[in-house]
Amino acid sequence: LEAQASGSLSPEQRAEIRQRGRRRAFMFVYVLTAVVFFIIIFSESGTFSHMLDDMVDVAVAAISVVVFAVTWRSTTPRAIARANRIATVVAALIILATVYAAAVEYGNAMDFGDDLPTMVLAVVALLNGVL
Amino acid sequence: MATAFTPEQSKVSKQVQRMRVYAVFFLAAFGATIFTLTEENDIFLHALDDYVLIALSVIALVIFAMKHKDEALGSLKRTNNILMILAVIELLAVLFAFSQEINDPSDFGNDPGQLFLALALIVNRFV
Repeated sequence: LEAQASGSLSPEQRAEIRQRGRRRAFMFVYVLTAVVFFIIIFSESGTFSHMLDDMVDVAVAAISVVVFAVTWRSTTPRAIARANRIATVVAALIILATVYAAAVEYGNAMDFGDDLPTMVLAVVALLNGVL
Repeated sequence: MATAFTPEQSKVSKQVQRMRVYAVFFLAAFGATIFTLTEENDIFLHALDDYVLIALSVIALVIFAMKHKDEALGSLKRTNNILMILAVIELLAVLFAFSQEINDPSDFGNDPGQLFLALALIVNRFV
């Protein structure tokens, strides 16, 4: 109460703000991922194995967005942290899909182009879940 | 149990969350652009937007490093406004890249992603 009266934040409030910040960052990353990769699916060379990673990215990003949408009204730090853990696992799945894509698309410069930026974005999302 | 926030603290919370989104996106933009820069380095005008993006990302990350402990509402708002201006400059650089690289499929490939990223950063300021 003393902390609230002075306008400064208590440790519990800082912890909750951190969880909410993670959730907001995940939400932005996964909405962007779902939109961009939905477009990229149609620009890959038409080989199913080249499109597979983009489909996985769209699917897992959409799942994460749905989880956040369903739990958006949850105000307890524990519920927000649970949704953030799911989003962190999704980032790990995107990294795995991108490693697979890099192996399959390495010989095709056009299709390979998006894989390194995707890897960077997924690693940053993973860091967002743990830092 | 939910933590209680005063109206002032709720505003601080929102600004801190916005700043985290800026940090995550500028860090991702920095890392991703380092990779694409090597592909486009053969033509200066194609690489120019990547140089601008790297410079903006470094500035944004330095600002974040200096201000991430900040809890004063006015200072947080000012920082986020500066970061949004960097996002607007990034958007202009990407639009310039569109005009230069539209006929070069291998160099153009990363630009739509950068465009969406810049738009997301601007949206972050208003939602």
